[in-house]
Amino acid sequence: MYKSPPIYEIPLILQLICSTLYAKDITNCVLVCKTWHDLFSPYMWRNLDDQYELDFKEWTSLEGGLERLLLNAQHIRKLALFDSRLALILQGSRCTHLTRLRIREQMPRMAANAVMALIERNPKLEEILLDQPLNAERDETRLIQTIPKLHRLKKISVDMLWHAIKQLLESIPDSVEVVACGPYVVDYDQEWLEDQDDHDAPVDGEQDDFDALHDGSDSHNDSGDSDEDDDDDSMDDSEMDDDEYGSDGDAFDDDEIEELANSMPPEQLIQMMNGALDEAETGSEAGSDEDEDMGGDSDDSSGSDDSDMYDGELAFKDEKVVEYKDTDDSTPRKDGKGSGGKGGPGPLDLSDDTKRGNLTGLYLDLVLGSDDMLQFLPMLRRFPNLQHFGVPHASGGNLEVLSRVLRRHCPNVDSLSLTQRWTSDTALERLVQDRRQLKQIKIRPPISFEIRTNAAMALAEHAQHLERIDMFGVRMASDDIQTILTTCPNLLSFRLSPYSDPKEPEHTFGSVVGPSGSLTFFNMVLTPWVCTKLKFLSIRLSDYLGSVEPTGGESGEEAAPIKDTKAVELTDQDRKGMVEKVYHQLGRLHELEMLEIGVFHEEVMEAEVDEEDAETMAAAPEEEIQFLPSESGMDFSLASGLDHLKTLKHLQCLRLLVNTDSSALSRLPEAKWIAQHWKRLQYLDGVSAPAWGGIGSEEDTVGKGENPAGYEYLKTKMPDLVIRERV
Amino acid sequence: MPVTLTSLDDVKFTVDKDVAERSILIKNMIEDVGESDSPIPLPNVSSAVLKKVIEYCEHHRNDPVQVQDETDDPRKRSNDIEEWDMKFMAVDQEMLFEIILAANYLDIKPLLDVGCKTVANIIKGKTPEEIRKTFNIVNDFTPEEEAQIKKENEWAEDR
Repeated sequence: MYKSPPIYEIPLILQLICSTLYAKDITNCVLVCKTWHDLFSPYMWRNLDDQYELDFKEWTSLEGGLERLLLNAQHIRKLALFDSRLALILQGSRCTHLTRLRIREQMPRMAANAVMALIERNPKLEEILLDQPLNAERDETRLIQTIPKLHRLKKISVDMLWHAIKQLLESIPDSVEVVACGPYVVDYDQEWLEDQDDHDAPVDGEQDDFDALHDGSDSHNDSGDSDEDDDDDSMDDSEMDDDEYGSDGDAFDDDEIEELANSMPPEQLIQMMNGALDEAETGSEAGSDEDEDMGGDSDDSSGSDDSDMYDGELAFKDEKVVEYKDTDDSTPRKDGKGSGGKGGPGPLDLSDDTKRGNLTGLYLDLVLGSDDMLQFLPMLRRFPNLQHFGVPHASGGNLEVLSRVLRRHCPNVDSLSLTQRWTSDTALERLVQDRRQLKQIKIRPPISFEIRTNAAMALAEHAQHLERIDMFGVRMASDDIQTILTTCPNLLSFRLSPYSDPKEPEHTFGSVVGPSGSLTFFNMVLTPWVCTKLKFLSIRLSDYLGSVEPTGGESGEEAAPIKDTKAVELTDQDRKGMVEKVYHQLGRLHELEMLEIGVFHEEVMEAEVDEEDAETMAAAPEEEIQFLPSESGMDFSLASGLDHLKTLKHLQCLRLLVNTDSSALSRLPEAKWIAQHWKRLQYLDGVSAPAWGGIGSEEDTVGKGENPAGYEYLKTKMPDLVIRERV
Repeated sequence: MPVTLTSLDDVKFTVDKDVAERSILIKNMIEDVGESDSPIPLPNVSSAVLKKVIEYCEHHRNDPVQVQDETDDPRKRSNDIEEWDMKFMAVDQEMLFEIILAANYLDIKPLLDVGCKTVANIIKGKTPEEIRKTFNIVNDFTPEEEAQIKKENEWAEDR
């Protein structure tokens, strides 16, 4: 009989090994022998996280799927439910060790009840992410009442209206580090994380995890303490007053379900739960009407504050700016409550137990009217260590007030996230100016936004501190882009895209985004970049040679619109020299790991006019700018200067945008050059499909196109390189 | 100040205090007992293994204290092992397991981590049969049992 090596029998060691294995590897371990089956099986269930997105239909279609889910529920630590109805199954199970719970979809009423019950039964939760709004005010209330009892909670992301957010902020336990409110926040963060995953993973010298050691288990006792066994520390029922809000809407009471789970065979329990699900589905429809009634009040109550200020598109009809009077910190209120009233901020209890010193991230992706702002501003004093702030939507004047209050009470805010529509470029300028130091700014408005020179210059004032400038759905003038890149020596990431969705294909780049969205060759080569620590660079270049009067980046003068200037006449030799300088500039970025680049050729052409449009053309410009590929001179060939990029030894991802001439990269000499100099390259994205071998990635065409030798060479020399063609 | 460590087979090793204190167990013992010339007994570690452990601690004597990252998501855990560590871990399986056990006992987190990563890297990408061969394990499943487990675990594959 095989005797397992003792290392696998030590839970801590087994956990460390499993934490670096993918699910596929763990399922292989389970099949090795009976001993390994018993040892490794629990780790298959540990992370039912985002990559699983448990779906109810999928699990009901698996033979015995729900039974196995129930039987192994005690092993689950991280759970992402794409279908919240699974919560109805899990709420009464032994799923009481969750550290992370994410619900992706809108929750039907009954499922929301079950999700709340699941949260209540998991006191070890560190993260709660509810991507969609809760339907009923009652569920919001239940959540807000539960949150203070989750003493390990570090991050909570919910989509609720201000009145609920306010209560949440007043009730969070001291352990909480991040509160994120709003529909876009989770995805935004997720995108950020995914990018980190994509590009950070193989970086040398990074601290490795040591995830198993945080439980406080005695690591050098061989037995460890398997946390599978400590079911008993789920939240005390007495702490959770179920009667207060619990079971009136449920088909099963929590206690009943737990009793059933412990006493009944899983298949019987599932049958009963399926009955509950049927009721739930029926009930949710009925409940939605009820919820509309219930939620209607809440919406009205919240909306009424702003109803006189916003039209249907959230545009301000009549801007009302708050008059915020700061109160003396030394006169705390005795009742322990925040201001809450609509009459103004009032004094605030700032005794130690009301301050939330661990809160470093607060993202408010919602609209704050003037009255809401009056409630919110004094709350900022509770969060003296705030570093990351997601700025809510408010009128420009209110934002300026917010910015000043933020500066006073949260002086450490050095990271701004702006995902709301902007009413004022001046407000952005003020927000940036008011920071003592700004390290990160992430902007991703729902509607494309142009950052003008004054705001860009305000950014440049933080040049010595700025580490990340990531802006999606944002355009900047070429001069301003260059100013930032020539003044910010500590930048690690500079990503500027005219599209809100970083993954959106840029088929229409040329026709939608004018020169203000790209950095011209001419600007780019004027001054050496100082941002030589850059790891991520996403940029659009244009070979347009107008706008030849550099501002130097210091005067703050607004650059003349490029379209109004005359292009410089350059010989082919001059153009070639300039392209070489562009390569040289990029070649200075020795630390670069991800380069996303678009290179566009720009031509000023006479507009084609139909006779029918003759009248309208009277007012139209005589010239229009078109962006065409293949003539910029920067085609990523060795002949045009690719060799200057051999210094990018850390490059892992090269992504070439639509309209960029990239066919040269598929030729054999360039392929050999890539294999020789970019040894760490993992992704080569956007090389034009015909060059590799036809449109798409059909197996029978890839590698048989114009340059099969280059493709074959790369696949042989760099077997792990992922090549994505541009279709 | 040097510290003397005594192994399971009674071999004595004299090392600098800062090297010995890479082990949290030894560090705590020194703090509890106070400065003393008496050797510190390590009855769970053989001399061959202790020699390797000391070699590791000496190489990493100036490393900063490891910051814990509590993720257990393999996507976020780097499997990169420093070149020196990789060479250090290029030992036979028995020694590898002994080093991991010693790191666990002596509470040397970075060594434990690198040891576990090494084992994980051995497992990664291998079929069950290849794993059996690598670790000299006999398959005690019947074909029916194996098929049943495969079927049950289909949901977890290719995730």
